[in-house]
Amino acid sequence: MLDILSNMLYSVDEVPKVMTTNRTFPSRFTRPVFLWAVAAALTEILVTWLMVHRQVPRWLGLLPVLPFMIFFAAMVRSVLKMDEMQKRICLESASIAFLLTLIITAFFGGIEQAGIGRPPWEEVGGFMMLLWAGAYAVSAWRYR
Amino acid sequence: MKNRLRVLRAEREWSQADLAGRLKVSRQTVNAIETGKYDPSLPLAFAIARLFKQPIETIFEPGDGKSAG
Repeated sequence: MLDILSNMLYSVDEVPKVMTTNRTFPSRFTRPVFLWAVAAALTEILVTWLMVHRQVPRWLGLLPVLPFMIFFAAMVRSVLKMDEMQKRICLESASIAFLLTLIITAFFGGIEQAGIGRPPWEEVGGFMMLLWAGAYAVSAWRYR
Repeated sequence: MKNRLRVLRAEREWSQADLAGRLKVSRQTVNAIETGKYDPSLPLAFAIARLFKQPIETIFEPGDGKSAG
């Protein structure tokens, strides 16, 4: 009897001809990391506009830090949940963005030292994020 | 590195998503392995071999020495 039951159990566990998986991969536009990135960017734009056009307390300038921190946490969580190839794509794009940011930084330093003008140092972080997104798109396309 | 993943999958009439679910990876990863654009890690290669109940060297064979990734 036990043998019959265990055979039935194992036959269910055998590899079926047609499989369905419950695993879902939601659209990248509804993922927390994307939504928090949008929230952070919108907060940054809104606060910058308010600081320029309205009389608002100075501490309001710190407001974008909160969604940026949540975005960072969501990004770390999403990277931890990725499979090995997706992690490789992220690592590749981060390395490319890092190197290109180094080049931009050296370029800005050169401009400043030569006295040609004042480079936008405060935008280096934004450049790095843009480069990372571009490098991610290229890496993802390469493995598609 | 060449592999017989597509053939083995087709023999079982699985879709890439089915195989990806079994291996707990994304469908894109399965596709990249099948097309030779990505070489899986040793743990994933062993998981594939275990899933198809075949020795690893019958599924994967060295190609022309160029590593896909």
